[in-house]
Amino acid sequence: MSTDRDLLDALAAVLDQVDPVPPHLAEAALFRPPADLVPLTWLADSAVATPPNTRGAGPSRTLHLGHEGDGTTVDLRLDTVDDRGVRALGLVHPPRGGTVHVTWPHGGTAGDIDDVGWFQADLLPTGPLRFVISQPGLPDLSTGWFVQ
Amino acid sequence: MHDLTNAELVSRAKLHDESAWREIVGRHLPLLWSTARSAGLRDADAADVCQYTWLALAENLHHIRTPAKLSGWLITTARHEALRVRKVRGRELPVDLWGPPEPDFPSPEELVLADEQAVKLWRAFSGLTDQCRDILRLIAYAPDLTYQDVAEALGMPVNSLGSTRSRCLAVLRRRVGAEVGV
Repeated sequence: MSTDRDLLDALAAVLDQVDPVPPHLAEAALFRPPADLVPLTWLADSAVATPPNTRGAGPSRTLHLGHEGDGTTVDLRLDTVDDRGVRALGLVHPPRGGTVHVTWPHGGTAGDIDDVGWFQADLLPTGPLRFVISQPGLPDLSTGWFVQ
Repeated sequence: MHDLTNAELVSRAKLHDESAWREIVGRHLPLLWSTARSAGLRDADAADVCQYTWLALAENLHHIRTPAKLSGWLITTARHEALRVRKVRGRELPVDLWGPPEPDFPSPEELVLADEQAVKLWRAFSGLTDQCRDILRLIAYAPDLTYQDVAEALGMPVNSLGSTRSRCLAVLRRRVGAEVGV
């Protein structure tokens, strides 16, 4: 191992042997052409910082997102239920009705936003998720992908 | 495809060139996997972080300001998400894969290594500080990363990275030497 590069190449080979990349991961690296969605801004995430006036994040993850353009805010509460999946409860403000589409790498589901702005989705798979808020007459708003 | 730069691959992937996308994945997957695992994630969560990173890249392909810095963008994206997942998963942290091995017995990791030299290198690497392991892992898998890329990915000041990198390499080299005869 005469040079630093030789040493680092040998290290990379050792790491590959000790903890190899699962073979299916390359196939799982799907290319998804980007959809025409407006990204919501992440304003708060209990996985990054404990929300004010709480002692700890607890078992739930809470997200607060917004879009300055049309004044929409979205609050999401996510609960992972054992190994069975993720429960999502959301509130869109101001309430305008519409639909929420939840997408994961190999599927998706949709639900209505009620008159007060609430929506829910039960037992989504753990792993990468994306929520898209579709409101009448407005561009679709996306949380972007995140892992839950 | 192997000869293309990251910037060229990004340009082609923007035009939905599937082979360019596959090359990006092949070139960076070991780095992303190692990044997620080094954050303390179990296999399934590390796999989710890798998959998330590719989804995020596809979604942001047209917004990456400096395609030549693709490797740095991928590492930073994966590491940030891995740290979030670690917090979301709370107490589900696995046994520390990268912790120091017992000196007198081969660790599970050592049992899979092909030769004595590899075992020496693994032992030497395992005994380094977390910071040294993080730096060396990144530059081992991605030699083209700039100091700025590595510093951003690890949340370190860039002005101290050069000296820290040199010190970590020197310690690793010395300990590999010291393992001779073990």
